[in-house]
Amino acid sequence: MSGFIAWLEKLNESDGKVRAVLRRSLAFNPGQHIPAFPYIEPFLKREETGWRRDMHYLVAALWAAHWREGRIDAALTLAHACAAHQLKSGSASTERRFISLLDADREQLPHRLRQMIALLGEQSIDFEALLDDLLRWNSESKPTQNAWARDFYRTLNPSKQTEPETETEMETAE
Amino acid sequence: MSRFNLIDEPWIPVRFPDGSRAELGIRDTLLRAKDIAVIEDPSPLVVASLHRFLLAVLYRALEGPTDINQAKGWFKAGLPANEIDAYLGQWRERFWLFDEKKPFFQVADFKPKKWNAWTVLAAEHNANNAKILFDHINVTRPGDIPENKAVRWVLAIQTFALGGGNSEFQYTKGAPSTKAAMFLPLGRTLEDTLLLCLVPQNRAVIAQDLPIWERDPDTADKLKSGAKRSIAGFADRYTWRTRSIHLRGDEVGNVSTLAFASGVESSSKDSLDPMLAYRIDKDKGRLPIQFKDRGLWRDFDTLMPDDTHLAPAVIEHAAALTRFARDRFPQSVLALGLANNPRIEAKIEYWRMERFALPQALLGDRAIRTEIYQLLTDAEQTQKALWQACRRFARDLLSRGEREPDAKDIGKFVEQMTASTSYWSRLEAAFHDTLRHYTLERDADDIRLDWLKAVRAALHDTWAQHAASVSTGDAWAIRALVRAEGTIGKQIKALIEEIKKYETRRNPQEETA
Repeated sequence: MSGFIAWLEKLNESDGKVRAVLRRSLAFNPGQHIPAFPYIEPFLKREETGWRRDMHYLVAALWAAHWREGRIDAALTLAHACAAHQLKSGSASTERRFISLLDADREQLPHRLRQMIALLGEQSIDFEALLDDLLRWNSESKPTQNAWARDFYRTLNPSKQTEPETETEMETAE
Repeated sequence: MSRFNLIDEPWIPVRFPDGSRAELGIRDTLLRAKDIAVIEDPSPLVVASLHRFLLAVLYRALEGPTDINQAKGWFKAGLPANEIDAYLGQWRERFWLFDEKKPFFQVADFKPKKWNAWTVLAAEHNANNAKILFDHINVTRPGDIPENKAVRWVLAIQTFALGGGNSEFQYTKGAPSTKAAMFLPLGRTLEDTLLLCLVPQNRAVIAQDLPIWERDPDTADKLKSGAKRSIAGFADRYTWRTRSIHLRGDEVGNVSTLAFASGVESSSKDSLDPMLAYRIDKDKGRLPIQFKDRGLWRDFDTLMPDDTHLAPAVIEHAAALTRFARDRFPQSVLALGLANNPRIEAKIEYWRMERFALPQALLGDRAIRTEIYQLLTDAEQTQKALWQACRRFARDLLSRGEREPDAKDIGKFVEQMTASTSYWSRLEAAFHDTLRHYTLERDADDIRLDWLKAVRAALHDTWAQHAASVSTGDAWAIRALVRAEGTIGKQIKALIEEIKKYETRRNPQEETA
């Protein structure tokens, strides 16, 4: 699934209302705000149902809420953006929010994601990648959650190494 | 009346090259040894003690070997049948299992206050403190056992009795080499095995080295007062009276009860057992290698002879004998023995028989011990990284944030993780493979390269397995996993760099070839 964000950007260029309508849809469950239908459904070509459809609506709404005129910095994946935010702000609360986002189930996800995106106002975010990731959110092996955690902590501690343990402790581990 | 002479009656379980099995007496076993493949019994303790017993017979019958040349002579010509036959004939009277005056390996005048059930002899039926699963023998009504079993277990208990507790005579001490792992290089036939294990002894030692049947019978009174002496030699050591036993047989010879008490204490703390491998402890000096929780293979380097002479003398001897008869080099080595509970002396944790391929490269001039030590060190160091990662994972999972959890909790958590066990068991298989490739022709660097790859794969696979089991957990678990991964990544990188070194070293050679 690609080109969705490009599609939204194109709509945005020709229609001034797009972002307003999509932003407004954040107040509803994904895919429930009827005025947003004309912008999303043509892209989905009515083939998508259920989770896939919902995630397109959700990402579109988040994209609209996050949009700023003239962003030039490179778009980060959500996990990188969270880590960058934490490094910049120095507050541990970003990590807590990030963890609770990773733990979100289907119902909690839209809300927590919306909060997180709001927090990352300064960062440019790769929504195309976000959509891809969200589509796999419910997979049994949690590939998205794992990948996000990896990206987050690797960005946070790029070179941090485990401190050496003492020899006596090692013995007991055998 | 005397009954069941061990020289003629069948009681030693053997397997022939065609796979058939039989029980033989001492005479047949020794005289037909080159037609017998191995001694085979379900109990590793019986297998070990039967070999030791037969070796004791040979030391006496052959009055040697007193040096390597004599040993080589017999290795070339085979066991001298006439000497064996004559010796057994000479001492025939001392091999009666039931005899009024001199029953084999027993104390004739020992009439106990309480008769024990035969189960005290057999580790696998001991109901006092080491009851095992599926053993339904009731010690208060144990039934009886035939002579052949009884004598096998008498030998096993003399070799492997653990100390602890008071008996009717004295406090019971363990046998001289009870808690060590015993190593036995396996030749093509039983004859080869015995000759490979027949380590030469000094002529003066051999003259004094009396086995139990050549000694004056011990009396109950003497044993009661606490007999103690030093070990005279290998034959004496292999037939040491660790327990005073007197079997009570019924009219057909079956044994249901016996007298059982402490035996002779050994005052030789430092004398070497040829079947044991040793290590140097910085406080306690030379200590035998034992079966422990950790796999014996992780100490495999201690089996390889070098200048320190800490390796089992039988392996050193086997290498010396076969250096010029390579086709008779022992293909494998058996490790036999038991492990006891370190807190409760007399409690057996398990008994075991393990088989290792013996690296043929021993026959060359290479420092095999150092090479294998290097391989095992690679494995240990990598395990340290794994262990650190596990600790880190445990800490992060338990604390969920800034609070540092109790070190004990972390320890317990790590203990229940399967990562280390899984890592070692993966590597164990690879190690056995490596040993088989340790031929004279194979290059040491080549072996290490393969081993490093195996270590890397074991670490990688183990962690991947752990990650897969965690990745479906909650966000905290995923967080802990990801944070712990740094250590693993670092170690894998280090291994890959080491591997590359060997590969670049090898490639130029291939190009010129």
